[in-house]
Amino acid sequence: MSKPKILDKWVTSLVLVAVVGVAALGIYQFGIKPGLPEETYAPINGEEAGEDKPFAFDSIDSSSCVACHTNESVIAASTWGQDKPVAENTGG
Amino acid sequence: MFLVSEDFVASTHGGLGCITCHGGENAMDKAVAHNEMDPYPSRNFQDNCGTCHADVAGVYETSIHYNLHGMANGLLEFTDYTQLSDSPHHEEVFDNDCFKCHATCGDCHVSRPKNFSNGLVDQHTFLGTPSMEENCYACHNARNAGEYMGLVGFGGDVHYDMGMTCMDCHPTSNFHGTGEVGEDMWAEELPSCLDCHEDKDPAVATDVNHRVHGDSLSCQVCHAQANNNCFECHLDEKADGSGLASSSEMKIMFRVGYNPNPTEERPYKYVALRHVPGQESMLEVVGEDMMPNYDEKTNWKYSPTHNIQKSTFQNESCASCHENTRIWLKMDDLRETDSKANESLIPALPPSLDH
Repeated sequence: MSKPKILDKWVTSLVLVAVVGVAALGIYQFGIKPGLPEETYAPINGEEAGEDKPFAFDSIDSSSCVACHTNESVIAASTWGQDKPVAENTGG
Repeated sequence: MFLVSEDFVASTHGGLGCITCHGGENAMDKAVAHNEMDPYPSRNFQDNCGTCHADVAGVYETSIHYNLHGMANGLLEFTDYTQLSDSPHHEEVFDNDCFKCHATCGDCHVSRPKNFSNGLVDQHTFLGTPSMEENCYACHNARNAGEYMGLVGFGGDVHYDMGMTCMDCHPTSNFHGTGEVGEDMWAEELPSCLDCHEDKDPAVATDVNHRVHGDSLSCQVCHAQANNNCFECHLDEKADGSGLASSSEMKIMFRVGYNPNPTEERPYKYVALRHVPGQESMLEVVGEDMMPNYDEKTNWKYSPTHNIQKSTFQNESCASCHENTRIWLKMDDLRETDSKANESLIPALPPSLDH
């Protein structure tokens, strides 16, 4: 039985081995063991969700809030709060 | 309307988006945008702050900054009730006057307390360590924080002059709570002068003053200056009918007397005293006979006065204390409106230097 011609060149052989290896690893990760490694967080008060766990909700677009509340000229022109009481001496 | 810095918008908290915490809607019409908006999201701290800061939110209800148990129990001491819900009139006093000092996360970490001047401390930047001037002082202005900063009394505290803040002595648990429900601030793990000044412990002190006096005098007797005292507090309806407000006469004084409540941590015989606001008729705007046990509780209280100095007028010499009749609590200091219990605090002093 004669050797396939494609294996005559050693560079071609190396590429073939690499392709087969990557394919095998891919089948293992996505087929046999799907998913990423599970994240772990420091437990606090017995809860699994520690302080470093990302918050559970997505941020909500607040572009309209920022449009006014970062605009100093809008703030300056506002009459909001003028009818609110000023500071009290709390006596504390 | 409050200005929010662009630096805040780019921060971790800013990245949540305003609506995530404050509610409202993302709309360019002002009325629509503010629909159901909550300016104080930390009032619901479990659902908002607690989403990320579960460790603090989980215990904050046990903090006296949140539940004001010290005030509630102080009010109940004048009555035969064991809980405020047993008396609608006392509950009204607590809800409409005492409870204005209730604080949530935002009152310390983002804005000035609502009762002080409100507004954001630093354009909505979240301060991990609250500002002593903008937050602590906002509520504790007339007494400890004001004294510490030299704004009430004779002068400031040497620790303030050295650059120390409230948080340099008070542990975080004093603000966030521990998970254990305490009756008042005295149940907290409070700082002690000996935490730093170990060499002044009378058991090991090498100087005669601390060896002789350390067990019988609180540190403030020798090292505090005059403090702010409140007299004849009275509760009235606010002029606009929006609730209750209290007012009292304030007076700078320095008085030493017997310890009203010796404990294992504070066993001293003599302590610096402070007159706290109160008189038997102070709550009559709400109901009659609101303080039946008034004469069983002293108006002069143990004072952890916060204007400490190494050298004070009363520790200048032996005679400046032992022969100084003006600093000791005496009958002339008691007012007609004071509790009869104060008489038990008047020492048979000044003690002679002969023995």
